[in-house]
Amino acid sequence: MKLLLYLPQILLSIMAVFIIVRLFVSLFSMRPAGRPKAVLINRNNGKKLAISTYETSIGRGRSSDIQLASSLASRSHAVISRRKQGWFITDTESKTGTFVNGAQINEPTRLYHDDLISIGGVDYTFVAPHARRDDAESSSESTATATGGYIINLATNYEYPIKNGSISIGRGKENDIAIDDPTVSRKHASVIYTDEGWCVVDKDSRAGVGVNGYKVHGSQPIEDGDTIMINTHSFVFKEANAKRKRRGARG
Amino acid sequence: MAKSAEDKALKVKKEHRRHPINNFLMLAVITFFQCYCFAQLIVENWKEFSVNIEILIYAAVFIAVEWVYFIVMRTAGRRKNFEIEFIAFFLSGVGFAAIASAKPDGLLVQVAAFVIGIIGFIVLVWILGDSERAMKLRLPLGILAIVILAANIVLGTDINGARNWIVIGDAISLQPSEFVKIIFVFVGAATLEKLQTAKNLYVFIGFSAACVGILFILRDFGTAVIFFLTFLLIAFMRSGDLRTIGLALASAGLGGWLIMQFKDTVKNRFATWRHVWDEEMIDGKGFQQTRVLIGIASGGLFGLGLGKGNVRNVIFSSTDLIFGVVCEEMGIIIGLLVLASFVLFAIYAINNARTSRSAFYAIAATAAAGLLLFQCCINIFGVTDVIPFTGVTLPFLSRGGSSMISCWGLLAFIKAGDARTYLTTYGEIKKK
Repeated sequence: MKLLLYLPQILLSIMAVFIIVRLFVSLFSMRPAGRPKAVLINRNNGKKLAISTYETSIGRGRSSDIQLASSLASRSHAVISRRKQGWFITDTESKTGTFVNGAQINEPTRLYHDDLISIGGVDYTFVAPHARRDDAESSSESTATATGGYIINLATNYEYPIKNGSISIGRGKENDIAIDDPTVSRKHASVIYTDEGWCVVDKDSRAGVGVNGYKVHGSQPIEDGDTIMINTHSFVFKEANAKRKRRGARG
Repeated sequence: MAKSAEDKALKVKKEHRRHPINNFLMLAVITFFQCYCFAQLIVENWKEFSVNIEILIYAAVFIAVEWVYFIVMRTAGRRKNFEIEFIAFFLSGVGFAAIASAKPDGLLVQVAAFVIGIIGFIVLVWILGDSERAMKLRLPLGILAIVILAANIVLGTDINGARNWIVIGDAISLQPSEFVKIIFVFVGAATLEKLQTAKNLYVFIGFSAACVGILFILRDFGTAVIFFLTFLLIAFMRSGDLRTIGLALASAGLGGWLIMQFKDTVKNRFATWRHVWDEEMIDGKGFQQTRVLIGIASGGLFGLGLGKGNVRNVIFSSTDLIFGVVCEEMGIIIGLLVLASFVLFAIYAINNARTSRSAFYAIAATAAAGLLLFQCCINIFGVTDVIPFTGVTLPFLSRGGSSMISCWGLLAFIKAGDARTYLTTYGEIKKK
């Protein structure tokens, strides 16, 4: 009987616990999995330094993300940052300066694959295969095809071209890639070109979307060669520039 | 090869079990929770018809604003993630119900501030979308913060022992230090992000010293402590080298000097602390703390029900003592959930720092979440006599327009720190 009197209050507390727990679980677990990937290779000893954050500070100080042993390096020497246009390096008023391909930099300087970076008398090679200089140049020359690409169905090897920076995938016939499978949602996913580069977007599908084996929460950046999974159907994403380049090499 | 594909498929299948929340359904649950609270209150006050009509109207506006925000951001804003806003809706709803119980005539200001706060939140999230734009605003905003605080010395009105109010006409009174909190986090994060150089550290020390110094002159001791702790937190985000040690030493020296300058004020605060149950204090300087503690005990796990408590009759029950009202009428479980929300916001901001697109977002989100947590702790631990009691509001819950707007402003930094916020959802196609 006493419990019945308390029932409205108990219900209120249960609702509150449900709301807060569910929201925070979602907040903590639904982060995009995409991470920038580049490597600095020490030219003297071949040691590799991984760059896996959007801003990576380099210097002698303990607060730097990449700590250098060279006494010529400043405590906070330079920062390598990933922006939507590409990779950049900024000298943070170091004493001995930062050099890219032999030239001292005074302002944020764009980095390309295989660039030589000199910090504190030590040479590093910047390795980022997706940031090749010729790719960037060809993409700036050919803006008409910049937002193009291909989705390849791994089961049939059929190539679906991406027109105007967007392609839709789903069970409905109105989709660019229509999949005749009842487990696929009518409007399941799309691949679009955004401010952040190429993204795959889960359009609130029932079964969800995977990229390289991992679940997409909302939307996620993708790169050339990534595998997009729609239930049992697998597709590979290819950027137009990367494809042109391979054809050129073959032919 | 086949096995590898199978493994991948299994991994996806396993991940699929963790579904993202259905935003529509979650907001419906929050709305039901809020309606349930207001219904309790109306049933309890059924004889007071005019008060009930007032509560009904403001509650309807409050809930309508939440839905309008959700629908507009979902459709026009193409946003898909609303967890952070929903938590703020929940907290604001709990506060709104407690205010309706303690001081129903304060609901108009609360609803108006809620609307302004959400508009400010949308604008700030947009400004923070471009970190270069944010950097350009650093200097003018820093100067504006000092001017706003300094104007208090000249134009400020002494209310409840602190000269931190500016009264305009008969109806509007503002607490400018609340707005300066947003600027403080903004300037701190923009000044100390990775791409900035050493001299910026000294600029930030100077800026912080000016803000905290003016707050002490205004005798706004609680806010000064919050600024000081946030300053240490922002400095800590750049920790690990000699400059940070210098920063910490400078701040400790500054804090010590200020406490020496105002030791009488500090002494008064400490005189009551841990002595609220003394015979001479229980109905005197310790009146509020003892009533809150009695209220928490009588409310138990699930509370007495909205409108049935006694803490609501104590002075400042809708502002500084709102935690007591919540615990007594809605139960300590909901009281602890409020505290847990701010703790989890802070953990979330720290966890997100590594994946953040820029140190600016990481520092700003952590500092904002830290500031909200400090403020929450100073309020809750103050009213429960764990630490000396000082007049600080409980974020999102306490009655007060400036406080509500400031909380939404700070929430914008946490939202900006969420990598999904600026990851365009469907439709927004940009050519290179």
